[in-house]
Order: sequence, then C-alpha cells, then structure tokens
Amino acid sequence: MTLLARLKLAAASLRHRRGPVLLTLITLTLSLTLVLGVQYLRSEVKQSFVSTLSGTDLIVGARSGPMNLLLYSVFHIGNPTNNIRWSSYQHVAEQPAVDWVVPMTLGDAHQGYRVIATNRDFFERFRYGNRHSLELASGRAFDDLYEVVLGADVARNLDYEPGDELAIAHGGGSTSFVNHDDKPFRVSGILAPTGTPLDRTLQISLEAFEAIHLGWQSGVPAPGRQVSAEQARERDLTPDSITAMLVGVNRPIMTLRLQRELNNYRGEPLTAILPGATLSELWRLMGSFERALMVITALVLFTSLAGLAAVLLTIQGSRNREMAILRSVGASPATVALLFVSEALLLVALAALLALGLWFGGLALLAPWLSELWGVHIALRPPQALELGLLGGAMGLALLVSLLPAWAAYRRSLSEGLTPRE
Amino acid sequence: MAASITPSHNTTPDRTAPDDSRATPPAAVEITDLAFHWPDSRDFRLAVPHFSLPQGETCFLLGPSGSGKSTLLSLLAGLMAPDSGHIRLTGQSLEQASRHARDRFRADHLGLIFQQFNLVPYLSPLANVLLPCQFSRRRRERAGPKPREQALALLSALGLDPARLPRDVRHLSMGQQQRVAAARALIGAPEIVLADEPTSALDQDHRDRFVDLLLGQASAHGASVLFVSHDRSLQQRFTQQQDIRQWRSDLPQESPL
Repeated sequence: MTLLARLKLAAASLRHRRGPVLLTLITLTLSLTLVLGVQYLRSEVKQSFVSTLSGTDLIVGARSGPMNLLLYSVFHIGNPTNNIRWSSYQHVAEQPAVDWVVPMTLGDAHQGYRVIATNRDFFERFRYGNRHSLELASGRAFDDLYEVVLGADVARNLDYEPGDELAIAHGGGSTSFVNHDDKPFRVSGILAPTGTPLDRTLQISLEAFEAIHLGWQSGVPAPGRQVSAEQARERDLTPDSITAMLVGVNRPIMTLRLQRELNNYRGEPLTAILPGATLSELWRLMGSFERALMVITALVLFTSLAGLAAVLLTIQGSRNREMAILRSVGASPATVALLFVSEALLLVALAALLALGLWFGGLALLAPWLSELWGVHIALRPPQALELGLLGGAMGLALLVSLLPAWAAYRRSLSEGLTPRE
Repeated sequence: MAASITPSHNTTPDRTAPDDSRATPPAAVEITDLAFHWPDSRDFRLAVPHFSLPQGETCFLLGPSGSGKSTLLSLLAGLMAPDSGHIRLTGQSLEQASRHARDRFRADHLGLIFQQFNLVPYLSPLANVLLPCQFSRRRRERAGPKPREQALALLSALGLDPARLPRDVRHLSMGQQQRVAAARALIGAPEIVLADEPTSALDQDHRDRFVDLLLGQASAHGASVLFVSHDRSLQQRFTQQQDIRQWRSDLPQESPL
C-alpha cells in the first residue's frame, strides 16, 4: 500500500469520526499554541529585558551594588545611594579609552514618571534592543532650557502633545508636596515607543535640572532665595554632581580594563558595571518565574496528551470490525497499527499547523492593540528553531501516546483473526 | 529409474512434490491431515484428513454456528497456523511461510465475504470494492488498466447501479452491502473466494439472488468458491458439498450429507 493511500485512508477515518476528533484537535491546538506562546514570550521577554540597554559599555555611578546601580539607572526602580562629582564625570570623559560619556541626573518626577536630566547626546547614544537608536515620534529633542522630551507611555497616558506645558515635581514619588511649578516646562518632543523603561520617563537637560533647584537647600526651597525662571537663565548652570553616566569605549577590548580603573578611582568611590552582564544576572534571579511557566506548560501539554490517548483508545475499541475487514483484504497487523499511528500523526500535525497559525496570526492581529492599550510591546518575528523544536517534540510525544492504541490494535488483529469477539 | 526421485504413480497423494501444473492445474484448496485446537479450549478439535477443491469449482460447507467454520476459514486465510498438517492454496504451501508472506498471499489470491458488516464505514462503496487493489499489486494489475472500471462493472453485474449508490455505506441495505462485499472479493480475479455465511442476514429472495450473482460472477472470473452456511437449501447450487462436523474430532460423528 502506498504512503499516499495510507494517509488517505487515515484521513477518511478521521473524517468519519469527526466529532471526537474535532474536540481532540481543538484541545491539542490550544495546548500546542500555549507551548508555542510561552516559549515565544519567554524568549521575547528575556530578549527585550537583556537588551533594555545596548550599545553602552559601562554604567558608572556612586559606589553601590551592581544590581542597585542597574535598577536605578536603567529601570528607574529604587533610589541612587549617592551622587558623583562633576569632576569625576570630567575625569572619565578625559580617559583615552573613552569614546563618549552621557551624564544622567535622577531625582525628580512628573506624576510618578521619573525625570532623567541629561544632555542631547543621550538621544544619540542611548541604544536598546538590537542597537536601535531612539526616535522621536513627534517634535524634537529639548533645545531651550525649559523644554522636556516625553517617553511614549508618559505622553500617551497623560495625553500630552508637543507644545503642552507641565510642572516637574521634586522627588521620585507620584505625589509630591513640593513642585517646581514656578518653572514650567514645555513639551518639545515625544519619543517613539521602545518597549523599555525609558517609555515611562521624561528627559530634560542637566542645566534645566540645575535651574529648577536654584535656591534649594536640603531638598526644600530655601525661604527668600527664590530665583525666577528668567533669572535662572543668567546663572551658571554647570552641575556640581550627577547620578550616573553611560560610557562608550573606543575599542571593546578596553572595557574590562576601564571598568577596573574606574572601580579603583581614587577621586571618589565609584562603581562601574557591564550592563549586559548585569542584566543577564538580574534575569537569572528571576529564573523561577521562567521555570514556573515551563512547568505549567508541561502540565497543560500532558493533560491534552492524556485526552488524546483517551480518545484514541475509545475510538480503537469500536474499530474491531474495521480492523478485521482490513486484515481480510490483506492488511498486515503492522499496517493496521500504522493506520492508527498515521491518524494520530495527521491529527497532531494539523494541530501544530493550526497552533502556528493561531499564535502568529493572533500576534500579528493583537500586537498593535497590545502596544496601544497596554504598552506591552511584543515583536513579531519568525518562529525560532527552539519553538519549532518544541512543537516537534510535542508531536513526537503525541505519536508515542498514539502507539498505545496502535499496539492494542496490533495485538488484537494478531490474536483474533477475522472474527473479532465484540 | 529412481522411483524415489520421480514417482511414476501415486496411490496416495504426495504431500511434498510440486503439482504438475501442465497436466492438471493445482487444486484451489487442498487440505491434508490438518489438526487444530484452540489453546484455551479442550472441547474443540478440528481434524481434516483430506479436502480438495479443484480450481474453478464451488463447494458448499455446511456448518451450524459454533461448528468451527470461522476457525477453518481463518486457517485457510492464513490468519492462524494449524497445529499440524498441510494447507495448500493454488498449489502453494503456506505453513512454512512467514506471517508477512501469508498476509501477502491473502491479499493476492483470496477474496473474503463475511456474514455482515463487511464494509469499512468511512469509505464509499466504490472505495470499499477497490480496497484489495490497494493492498495487492497483483490484484490491481489483474483488475485491468483501470481498476475503477472493473469495480463499476462488477457492481453493475451484481445488480447495483453505481451511480445511484449512496456514498455512505451505512445507508446501504444489507443486501446491497453483501453485494458490494462480493464485488470486493472478486475484484482483481483472486483464485479463491471464501464466504462465511454471507446470506444469513438476508431474506429468502435476496439470498437466492445473491448466491446466483456471486456464483455467476465467480464463474465468470474463474474463481473457486468455498461457501460456508448453515442453510441446506442452498447446497444444490454448488459442485461439491461438505459438512464441517465430520472434521470435528471431539464430536460424535453424524452420517455424512
């Protein structure tokens, strides 16, 4: 019997039993979609997490733990332990190994969204994902002293457009009793979504940060020393200190040496970290989340395979007559068993194709909506080898499961000949 | 002349020498000294000292239910092996053959018709008829350049209009189902048709008509027919009659037919 004839026979048999077969197909498709989806999201989330910041060779801040430095400088979680001196920034910038340095000062916020005070190099040098550079969805980078650039989420959630005015609050919280409302900022531009924590930040210039803190002492405005917005423009706005800096080196080979030198800097205690390595380390800390996902997926897959086995065995029990007929026209017991296996194979292959279609079709349809409504950015990309491998593995498991009824059919057709005892 | 090499005459049938097909064609079915018992049953013993069905002839095998006719047919179809003795079909001995070879032989040379439920429920009547051509190259080749046409011709000859048959075999009447099964047993001209009570589910009119059609088409295609039934009224249509109970070594012997 030719392979095609076998497959046709198996397909006809499946069509004949379309009720239970359809239900099994749906369960299989859904669980394979889940397996595929979990793996896809896992790799996407990891990818986007580990590449939250790319193209930066070192992050330098005050002496603290590498995790802490990473969390406050990149994820804007937690607070800086200390600031570093402007002279340290200048020292780093002068190192021959250093290609560029972008200073960052943190500490203020607007309605809970943190403000990064930096310079225009930030928009040039900041890279995320696969070395994507920042793009402005509208407007331009800050130019005037009291101009602010908004991350995509900030603009969307607070409904700002270029030209709008806003006041920056002192401190990082979402409610602050002290505002810099004497020096309002005008929105000069809005960044395109990046899928990184940067979407939830605002960027102003270092000089602006200095300006709004003129006349402040110990975190509160000192009475009688207020400086108006226009007066501030006349002052020297060179900062005394910054919070952290992003450093790019000339040659990647210099990175580790520069890191060691900065960690041993005598001027003041500094911490320099490799963002990629620290991001990976942080991801590993969250590994149990990944494992939990995998366990759930395995359980779902196991359940649907058990369902498949139950359906196949039930169907097989009612097929003795058919097996006797096939035997009588010359089918060997192996052919009968193969019929069962090819039915399962057809079923699982169909389920795998449907799962691929469902996941990638669904993602293509829903990704813009997810991004628009929830700010969740899931990139659409072709399936990876690991995902296809997982699908293949699930198919292999289903085939193994189908061997059970096939084996039962084989035994039966050997022992019962042409007169099945029902 | 060495008599041991080429015996010039046989008073008892020689069981090992090949038949001289030029003189007389080998019998379609030849059984000698066959013995069989089910491993789990002490009450059932089958012993066939000798039975022969010449090619092209038809045999009526009388057997009430439980007499062992299905067992005998399973032995003949090569689905089970006898304890001892020999079965030769179209001159070929199968007792040494592997299971695979017996499956192959069955596909190539045998057509089977059961009592009822003969058809694969998810195949159309035509696809059911063509099934043997899928398992046997020999049957496919013997069914002519277009097996489909022979299948349609057989169905017509058996009184079925292929164009008017429902596609779903479950919508066929019992008589129609048995005729489709007969067409399947005959397609590709197998030498032997084994029929296991094919008329027991049919009423009198359909039964007679079915036997007429089956024997007519078997004769037209040169097939030998071994027809098992408990219905004595059919036996006169066959060239040979046997009672299976004569071969039940565990039963008291009745007078032969």
